[in-house]
Amino acid sequence: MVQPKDERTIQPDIGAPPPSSVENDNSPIAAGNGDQAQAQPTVQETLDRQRELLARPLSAKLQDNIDALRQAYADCSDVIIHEFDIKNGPAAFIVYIDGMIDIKDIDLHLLSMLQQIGISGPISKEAIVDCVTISSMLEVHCMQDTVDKIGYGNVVLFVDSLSSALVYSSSFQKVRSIEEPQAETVVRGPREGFVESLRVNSTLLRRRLHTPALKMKTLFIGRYSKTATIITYIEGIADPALVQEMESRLSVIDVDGMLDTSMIEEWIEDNPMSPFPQLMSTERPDVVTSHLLEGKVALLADGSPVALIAPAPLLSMMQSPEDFYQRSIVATGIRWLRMLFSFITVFMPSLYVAVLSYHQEMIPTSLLLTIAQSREQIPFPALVEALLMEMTFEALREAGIRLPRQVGSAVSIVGALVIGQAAIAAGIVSSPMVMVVAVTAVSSFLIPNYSLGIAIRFIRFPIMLCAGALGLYGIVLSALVVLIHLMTLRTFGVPYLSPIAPLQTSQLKDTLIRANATHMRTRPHFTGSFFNRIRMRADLYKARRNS
Amino acid sequence: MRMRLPMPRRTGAKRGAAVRAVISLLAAAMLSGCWDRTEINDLAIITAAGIDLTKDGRIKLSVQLFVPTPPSSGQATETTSPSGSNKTIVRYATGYDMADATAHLQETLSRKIFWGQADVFIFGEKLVKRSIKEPMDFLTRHPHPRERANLFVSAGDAEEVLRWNSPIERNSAESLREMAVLQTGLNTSILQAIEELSEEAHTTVIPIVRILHRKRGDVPFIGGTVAIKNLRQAATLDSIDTRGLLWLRNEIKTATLTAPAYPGGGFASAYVISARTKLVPSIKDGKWSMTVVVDATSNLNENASSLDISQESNVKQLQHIFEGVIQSRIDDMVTKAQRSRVDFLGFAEQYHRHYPKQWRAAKKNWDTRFPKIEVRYNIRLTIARNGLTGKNTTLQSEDPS
Repeated sequence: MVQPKDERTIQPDIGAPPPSSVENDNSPIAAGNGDQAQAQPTVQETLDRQRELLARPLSAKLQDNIDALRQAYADCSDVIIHEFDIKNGPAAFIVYIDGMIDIKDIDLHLLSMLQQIGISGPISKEAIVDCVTISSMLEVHCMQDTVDKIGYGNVVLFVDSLSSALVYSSSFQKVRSIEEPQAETVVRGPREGFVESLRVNSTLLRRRLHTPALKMKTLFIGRYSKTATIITYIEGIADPALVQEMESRLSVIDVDGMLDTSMIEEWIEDNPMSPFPQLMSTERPDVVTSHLLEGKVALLADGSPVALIAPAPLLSMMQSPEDFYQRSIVATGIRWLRMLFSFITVFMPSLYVAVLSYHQEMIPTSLLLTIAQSREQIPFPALVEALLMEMTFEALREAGIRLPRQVGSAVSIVGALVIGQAAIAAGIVSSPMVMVVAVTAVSSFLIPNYSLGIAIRFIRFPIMLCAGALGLYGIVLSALVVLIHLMTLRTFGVPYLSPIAPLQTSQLKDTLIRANATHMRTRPHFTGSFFNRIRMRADLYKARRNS
Repeated sequence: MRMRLPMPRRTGAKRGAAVRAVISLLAAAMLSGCWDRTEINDLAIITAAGIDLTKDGRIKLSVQLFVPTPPSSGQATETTSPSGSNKTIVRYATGYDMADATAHLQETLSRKIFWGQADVFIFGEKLVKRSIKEPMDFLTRHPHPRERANLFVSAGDAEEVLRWNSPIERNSAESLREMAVLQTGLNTSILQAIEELSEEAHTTVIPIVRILHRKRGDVPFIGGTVAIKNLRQAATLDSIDTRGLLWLRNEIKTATLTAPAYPGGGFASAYVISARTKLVPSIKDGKWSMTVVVDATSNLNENASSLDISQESNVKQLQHIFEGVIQSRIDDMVTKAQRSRVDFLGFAEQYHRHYPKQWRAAKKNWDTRFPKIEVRYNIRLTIARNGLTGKNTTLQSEDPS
């Protein structure tokens, strides 16, 4: 199924796996059904019929086309086939899906034009095109293309004695209004977020990059869902090899439906078994724009408000858009805070368990005595205590996301009691443990990328178990395992820990620190040779500063 | 650009091997069961230990144990007495040596003895007079006791010091450690003691804890020093001499020097804010001598004399007087040390460093040579600031004639 799936090329398969596999899968069912098979068509017959129907070229006879479409759209109550006569011309009909087009537009510019003004002279395609006052027009010649266009909310006009159909785009979708993304809020900076409509999303990008160099390659993924997916990049900045790699990875996806970009992510990432995200996901057009300007490639899909950005090294996911909207020194400080707290997220509960179970001599005396006092009546070992509390916290967090709004406050009150004074008073957990859990919980939310945050929160459980089994030695061992994993990980060929490992000193300006905008003169470098390195000319700026 | 294709799918055989490896590792971790893990609840945390000598020549080990009493549950009854929450108890056991005594002590305890937080070790007077070899060997050989724990010698039984309850600090161990850190007396850690004992002179100094018996209760304090040679007490110094020792060992952090501003005048005091001491050995024409170089900076703390310190000459005069105070402090102590023939001043190490050849020859009869060493002084004290008032016209209206 490796075929160029472009908008304008024919996609001859319909929504079903190749016949060979279908036969294997369905023959036993067909045999088992026995006499029912005569009354109802088998799966294979249905699929064969669909395939045959859609492979047909359009006929010059109007009735043939109507019959074919009625057959294809049998039992589709939302499809409307409207027959009419063109004034001074032949019979015609339009097909569309009710609710997906702007019906007023069609009435005004298509139907009324053809029925009231009509054409004069011989029947030709040009005459029809001249008559209809809708600019966006395409011509299709086969059934497959026709149904694809209808499915995407276009109106298809068939005219008798013409062997092609005219597709008028008048797509009209009820979409959510553009809102600030809830998961990625900023104090200063744009508040627009992607929505579920691909066209709106691409417009949001185009409004930030008014250049023909911003390319948007469309392809359709999914046999049934036909999800329109856009690979977007800036020609001349993005490495063509990267774009090509993205295209080739996408072209091998052959599924029945693709519901969200996160599913695409699983198909195209380098190591699907890793807990760490290897593509960056964001709902913010400004984030996508800034990454496009760094030579990365973004992926948008219809029905998903989340864009994917590749390649995405670990440190780029530790950046918040706010970093670039605040002053560089402040942003650097916040970035350090964020990194410190991500280490705390991973290691704090494990350190607590390890030190309290194995290395009591490492704690300052007075602190140990205080901890000993509070732990005196706790029935559980430190490891059990830590696991209990951390899991409770994770459960509360998960419940908080899934809960209906109405009961949210009830759970938060109960949660505060569970992880809090009540747990201590009940003698189940000690107060230092509650403190550790609270600090860990807060720090885990400092990681700006949600999927990275989940990954980091997840890996602290095995580390905690190692700490409970082997103490600090276990922590070091598990930290090494994580480190080795991170170092072997690649995102679209780029080492996951770059530019720190391998060290690329010229790119540290936007990693551990956030240098002033005027100093970030070069684009980050991924693999191979530099493609387009210089991103700004600072001579005039320097001249002004020096004068 | 080099791109990596997605990882090849694991084959069934490989996956089976991985699963088997994981299962065996898990089994190894889960079945072994006998981990070193000890919960804090199962530890008898020793905060201080005292080692005494019994009459029949055995070791008596007394330990101060921390008794963790959980904070009272419920916010309503928050009025727990502070002494109740910082309870310590003292337990003791006797044995042929430290390990034996520890083993006997463990028999009387429900929790595992934990040396890791013991900050203070006190040797009883009798034990120090015999030998501290056994406890020192135990403390250095056992992996748990801290090398940075403080060593003390008690005047009397060590157990008595342990039994004292500090009203300010959590326990007496904490109290003693804080006092040692303040550097009014010596601050000797186990590590330091071992290092000094292994140096050329094989001596070390340990502060003495005395207990001041008052009507209202006992007050322990660090007063004096015991000099150890051949792992037993060789000499003792009182508090004042200990200050001199601190000057010589470059361990003075702060000191207040008080002296008459001029013979017969009122007193003036200087507060030393920084001091550096260096021992410079020299051997000239077979004559061994040691120069003590002290460089100190001080602030003028008090000047009750009628000396006008706004004049430079007077400041110099004061400086000179304070220099004399320092010299006499050190010199008194050095004289005592030389009289006792125990080189706890670190002279031996200096000669060993600077004159290795001569040292090797003189090493054997160092005890006879040490008292004869001539000690010279080169002391320089600067009064950096004379305080906020300078020449106090209100208090010092009369012009000194």
